Amino acid sequence: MGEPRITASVLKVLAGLLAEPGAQRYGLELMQSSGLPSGTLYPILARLERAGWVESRWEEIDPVAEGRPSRRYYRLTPDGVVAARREVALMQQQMSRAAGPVPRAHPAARAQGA
Amino acid sequence: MDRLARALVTAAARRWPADLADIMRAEWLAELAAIPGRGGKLAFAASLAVSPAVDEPSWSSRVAILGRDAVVAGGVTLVAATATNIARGSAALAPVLLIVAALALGVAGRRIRASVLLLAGAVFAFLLAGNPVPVMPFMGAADIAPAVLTWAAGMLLVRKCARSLRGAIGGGLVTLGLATIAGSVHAAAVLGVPAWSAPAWFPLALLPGGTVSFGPRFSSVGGPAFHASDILLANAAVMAGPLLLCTAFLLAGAIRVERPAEAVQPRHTAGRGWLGSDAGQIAVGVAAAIAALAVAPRLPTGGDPDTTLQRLLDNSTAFGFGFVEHPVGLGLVALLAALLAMRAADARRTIA
Repeated sequence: MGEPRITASVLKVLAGLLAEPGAQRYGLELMQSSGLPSGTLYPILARLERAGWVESRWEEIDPVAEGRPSRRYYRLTPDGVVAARREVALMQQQMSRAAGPVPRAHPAARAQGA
Repeated sequence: MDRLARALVTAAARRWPADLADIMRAEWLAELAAIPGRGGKLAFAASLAVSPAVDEPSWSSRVAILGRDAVVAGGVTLVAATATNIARGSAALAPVLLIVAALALGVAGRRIRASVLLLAGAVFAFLLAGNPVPVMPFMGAADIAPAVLTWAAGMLLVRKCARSLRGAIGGGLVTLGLATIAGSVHAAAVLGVPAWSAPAWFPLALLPGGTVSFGPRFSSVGGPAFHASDILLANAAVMAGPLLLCTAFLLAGAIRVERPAEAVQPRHTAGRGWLGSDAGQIAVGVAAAIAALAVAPRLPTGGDPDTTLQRLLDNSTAFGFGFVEHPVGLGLVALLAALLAMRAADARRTIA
């Protein structure tokens, strides 16, 4: 189980799962939270599951009674929570370094704005 | 519309690894059932259908691989064409030089992978663009296409089935024979060459002209007399030479000892000197392009039909590089040379 390659899309999925680390999320929900299309999301979920960062389970329902098939849901594993937090923090650190220090507003401009 | 969406996700799931295909299909069908609206269902399914599966390369990787393979195919075609011309220009030594060139391309083929279809496309484009119809009377698309298609089908089959050097050589020769026949049927029908001679067209096309003559005899006022076979074999030689060399290249690569899947290794570029640097690669590319611009116009372009007829009859001219007379064609040859040289420099750097 190697570490998955971290891309912007992977970070979006991890951030979506980290929003509620213990919550179980369907693929469709993760598509909405990450803004990724299905064709991008599912290969990422498969790679994260192979890496042991994500686990999946089938919804326990009676498809006949419910009138729909069981859905599969995903959540971060304990290792995945640690790894996801680390990667998201690393990215935030890199972004803030790239953006540089936030420039202070000029006193005159502040007075004008006020 | 729902049926289309279900068909799309089913097709997408088939491309996934075997241990995941059924799981993904069931999951996606369940998600489809939960998506409101036909547009949403179709967008969900279409995205899966056009996207790479979990272990497939991304589209950008595929485009890069395709571009690299196209450059290899173009380069091999140009080398095969040039080598064939040199061989045929040597008259009696032509068969020997062709065999030497085939061995050399075989050695190259053991180191470089190439796509049969891209190579077939490059050979087709080269033969079509390089041979003005007045010089090669039966070298239009209707003649080249059957030959190249037959060759490509045969190469795919041999590469898939051949398990030994002997099998690969046998399959390659049969393919070349069939391709030569497919590309010469039109000429044979027009010239009145008997069909029973067809199995001999490929080997005879590799020999100097006039070695064997058959079919109706033609004579023109003030011009040389010739047999129908002279024209047919000269045309066949145009295709047979480069296809023979491309066959050696492809089959040598197919029967090499398969090594374990190459792992992507980080590049170690430190200490490789100036030629290993990016600037060095660019310089190598520019030098190759300049060399191509200098050499390409000297390659035979087909020339004037009247002066070429005798060389056509004695089978000492293979085919032309007519397209290098056009600035776009010359520019493409220079670009190809530059890309190949840069890739070779990059490969040396990566291996090191």
